[in-house]
Amino acid sequence: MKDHFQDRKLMIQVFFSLGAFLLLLRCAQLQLFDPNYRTIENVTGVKEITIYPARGLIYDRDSNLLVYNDAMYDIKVTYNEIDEDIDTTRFCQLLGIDKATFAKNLDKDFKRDRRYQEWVPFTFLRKLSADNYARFQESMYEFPGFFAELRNVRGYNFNGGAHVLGYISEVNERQIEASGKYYREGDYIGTIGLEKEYEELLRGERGQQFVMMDNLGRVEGAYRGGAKDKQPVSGSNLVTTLDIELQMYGEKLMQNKIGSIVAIEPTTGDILALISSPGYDPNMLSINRNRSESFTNLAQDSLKPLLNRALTAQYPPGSTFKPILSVIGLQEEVLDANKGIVCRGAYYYNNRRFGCRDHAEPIRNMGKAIQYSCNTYYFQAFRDIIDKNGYENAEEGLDKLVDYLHRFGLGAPLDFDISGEVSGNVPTSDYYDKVYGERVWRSPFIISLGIGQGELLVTPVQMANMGAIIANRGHYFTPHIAKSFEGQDAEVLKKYQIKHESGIDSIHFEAILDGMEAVAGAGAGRIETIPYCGKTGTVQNPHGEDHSTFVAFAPRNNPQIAIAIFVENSGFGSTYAKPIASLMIEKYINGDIDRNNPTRVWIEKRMLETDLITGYQ
Amino acid sequence: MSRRAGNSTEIDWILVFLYFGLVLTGLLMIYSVSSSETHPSLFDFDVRQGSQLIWIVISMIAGLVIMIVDHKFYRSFSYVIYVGILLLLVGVLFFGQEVAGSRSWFNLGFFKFQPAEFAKFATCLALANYLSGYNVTLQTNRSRLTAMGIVFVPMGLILLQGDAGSALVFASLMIVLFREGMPALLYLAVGIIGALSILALVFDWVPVLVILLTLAILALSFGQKGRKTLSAVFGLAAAVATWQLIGTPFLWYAIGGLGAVILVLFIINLRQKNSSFAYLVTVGLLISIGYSTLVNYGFNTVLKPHQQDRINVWLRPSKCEPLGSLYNLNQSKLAIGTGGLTGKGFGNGPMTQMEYVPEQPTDFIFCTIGEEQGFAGSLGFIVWYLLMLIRIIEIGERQRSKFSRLYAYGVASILFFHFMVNVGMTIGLMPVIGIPLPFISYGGSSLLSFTILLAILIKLDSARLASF
Repeated sequence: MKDHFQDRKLMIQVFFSLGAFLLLLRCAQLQLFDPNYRTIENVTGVKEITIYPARGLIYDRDSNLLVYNDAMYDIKVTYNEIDEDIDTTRFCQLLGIDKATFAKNLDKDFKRDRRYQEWVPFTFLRKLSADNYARFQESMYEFPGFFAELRNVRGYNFNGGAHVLGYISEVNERQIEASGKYYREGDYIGTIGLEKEYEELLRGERGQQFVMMDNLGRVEGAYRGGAKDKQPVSGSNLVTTLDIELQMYGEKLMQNKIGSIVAIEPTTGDILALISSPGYDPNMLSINRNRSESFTNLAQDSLKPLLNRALTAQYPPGSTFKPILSVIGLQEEVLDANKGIVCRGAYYYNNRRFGCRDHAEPIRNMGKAIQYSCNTYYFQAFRDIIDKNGYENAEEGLDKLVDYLHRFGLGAPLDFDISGEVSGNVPTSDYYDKVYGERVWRSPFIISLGIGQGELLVTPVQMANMGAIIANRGHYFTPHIAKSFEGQDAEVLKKYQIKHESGIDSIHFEAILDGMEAVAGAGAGRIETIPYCGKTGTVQNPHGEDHSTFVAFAPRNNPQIAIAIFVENSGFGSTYAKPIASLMIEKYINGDIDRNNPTRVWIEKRMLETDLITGYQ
Repeated sequence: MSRRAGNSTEIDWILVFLYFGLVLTGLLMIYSVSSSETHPSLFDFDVRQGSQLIWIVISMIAGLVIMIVDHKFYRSFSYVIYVGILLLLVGVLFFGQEVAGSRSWFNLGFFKFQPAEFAKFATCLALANYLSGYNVTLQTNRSRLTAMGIVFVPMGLILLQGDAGSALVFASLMIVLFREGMPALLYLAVGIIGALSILALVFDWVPVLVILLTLAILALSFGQKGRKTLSAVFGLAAAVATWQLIGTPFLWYAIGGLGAVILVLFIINLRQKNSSFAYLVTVGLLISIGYSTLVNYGFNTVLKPHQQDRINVWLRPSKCEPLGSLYNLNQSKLAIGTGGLTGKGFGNGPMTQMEYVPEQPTDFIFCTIGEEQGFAGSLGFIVWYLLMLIRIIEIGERQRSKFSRLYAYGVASILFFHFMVNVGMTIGLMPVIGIPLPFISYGGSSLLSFTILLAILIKLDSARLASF
């Protein structure tokens, strides 16, 4: 048969030869010319070494180092590099583990478990202390396949501020997914407090180094001249608004008591101290091998030391609510600061009696009403505000009041830099419509709001902010704990520079300050050198002894600190809450309490020694 | 005459020599990586080198049997063998043993048997038989489709087993059809599509677009009458400028400019009564742009993740994790690269010795040659293999029987594909497709089937002077 395509024989042979030539070229490139493979003898593989960045340090407002990084080591291993003949007894001794642990930690299902592969390093042992590691390191060369990775864990210079600082812990599956796989198993992540809020700024960026290894696991040099390597970027250092001395002092004063203190610098919204008692030593939850035990103990404690009461506890404000009700009444022009009332020891309406106390002086004006915390005055004032548009129009009156209260930062989370905050409660007309029916209820139905009771609830931090608003005569900056990130203008902190107005003209505040100063200057909370303003409150507690509360700012003019305090189950506000707050104020403004004043020293001693937990429970 | 067929003088000893050279190389390489202090002997049947030795002996016996059988048997029974193998390929889908996601092995207890390996020579025989039929010419669509059907049926069945690598091998038989007169344009088209696919995957969509526009400008420039060089140089300059603008906001203006240049050249070509060429180029350009867009889309939707991985490793390694999907290839390249010019010496390659390269004795056996024998070894090996391929074609061309010639081309095509892809994948030139290196890789089923493939050729050749 005739063959028309004989010429294609040559084409095919040329095609084959071209293919072989291509293979040869590539071999020549790899074996003769590629500099990555020259100079290397005995290289058996490439290993990725993760370089963990230093996490950002945390300072207080005076540059005291609060949180630093502590070295801890993870021992990692590449399974197919392990020498079968190593002295396991010695190995285990060096690491302080038993042989069962050794076997267990190496027993991975390489066939089915996709997380583990024989040639990819995995973590053999976590959280080896620096001392233990030093011992092991000297002999590490005897154990091919094993190497160490430095991990930074947190250390704390002060035994205080645990709730604010928060802690880091190992990421869980959900967090890994949520981060778009940024985190990898075994990574640490801020779980609560500042560590959580500013995780992305504090953590920095991981680095990677690819190195070539020989068959004994020794590093032979950079892979591809380090082209794929990435230097780690350290996390940003965080300067907080905390005054650690004040914080520690507050925690000491609150020991053996349940409650919380929040202190704010009114001019900036800086939180100077945020105390929740009982607390815990931050070092207990630092990452080490005893950590899970500590955590379980804390989590199971009936006093709930892990709870940050400054944000999550909510109480009726009680009488501390009276100053802002006063200024709202003035702004709405339903109250007259110079007009008093006749208090007959109770407020009567429609044959019902709402109790008040006997006062040492007549309630000649608003100042006296504050000074003596006259319930009668505030029941009336409250009704004047609610009934401004007529007795039938309680909804409108309440809506107006609620609007003011929201502008005072109540009824919603302040949304600052520690998450987990609850909103408190400001009941609205909608709420009462549901309870009593639309347009059925009138001001007397809800009159207990007038003295800060009823459905009204505030958190300690909201209350401190309320104090700051009065101190500022009408405005506030959202309270916050992050002051700045070293070396950068952090966008996330911009919102703390926005001035929020309460809608009350500053002139109206003068009317209540005399009364508040008189409250502060009387009895156990008096500070000779500092004229300041405050208001006590007693929160009725249906479950037991009343809670005592106090809100204050100091000094009266150009205030430097606003403070709110709740002490649970401690009775009247003037018994515990006010003296403790006064000690805090004096400590902050003067650096210490007046040690030459026996009364102050005695009060401090008494507050420190008071135990409201043991025996009460 | 037929009695002369068994006469040893007719056997092509050059091919036999080349074959034994490869088998011996394979055995030595397997011995090199598998021997150890506890198993130092070549004849230790507990380990790989011993096992491979047994398979070499079995293959020799099979080769001898093939030599003894009358040469007419292979043609007469080619369809029977083909159908028998097809039945086995269907059977393995139901009764086969599942290994790593593919169902392609029969486990007979004493040895494991992969019908896909034997489908290669069976398909070669059937294809050669069909194409050498009296009324068959590749100038008719009917013959073309039948011939392609013979190739694609076993290919499809193997694909169903989940063994894409072995299935792709059958595509190499298109070389046989090319030799027998399949239109060259078809191969050119496939080549262009292949090149375009690779281009679209290696680069992003935008650079490919610029490249295509540039090619169109050049084609149209040379298509017109006069000012060829001028417009080509101008067009090229515009294209280079556009290339520089990739990644800047001005890019799309520049691409618009290239489009305008094409439009002008298109009109010039039209005016010069060169319209069919102008239309061809323009339509070709539009189709190419459309296709390169579809490639990336198809890549992401049609291919399974592990297949995407393999393509990524091959064409865009920067998208891969060095310790993830790139690991095998990196280890392989490292082993070969560190071999240098002369290699680390027999039995001295630490990477291949300690199995730092996965699948070392089977699919990545070439690493051992590269690491221990260096570039000198690679050169010798590749040239040796090429010599064998060329020899097979020469043998094919000297056949009087068309059947024998076609079979020879089938053998050459299959061996070439295996050789090219297997060696290519160890050095990153080809995607990692798990197919063995014939005569070298460890594995009985593979060695036996390739020996049968080659032995039938030697038998047919030895009978080339006999009547058919």
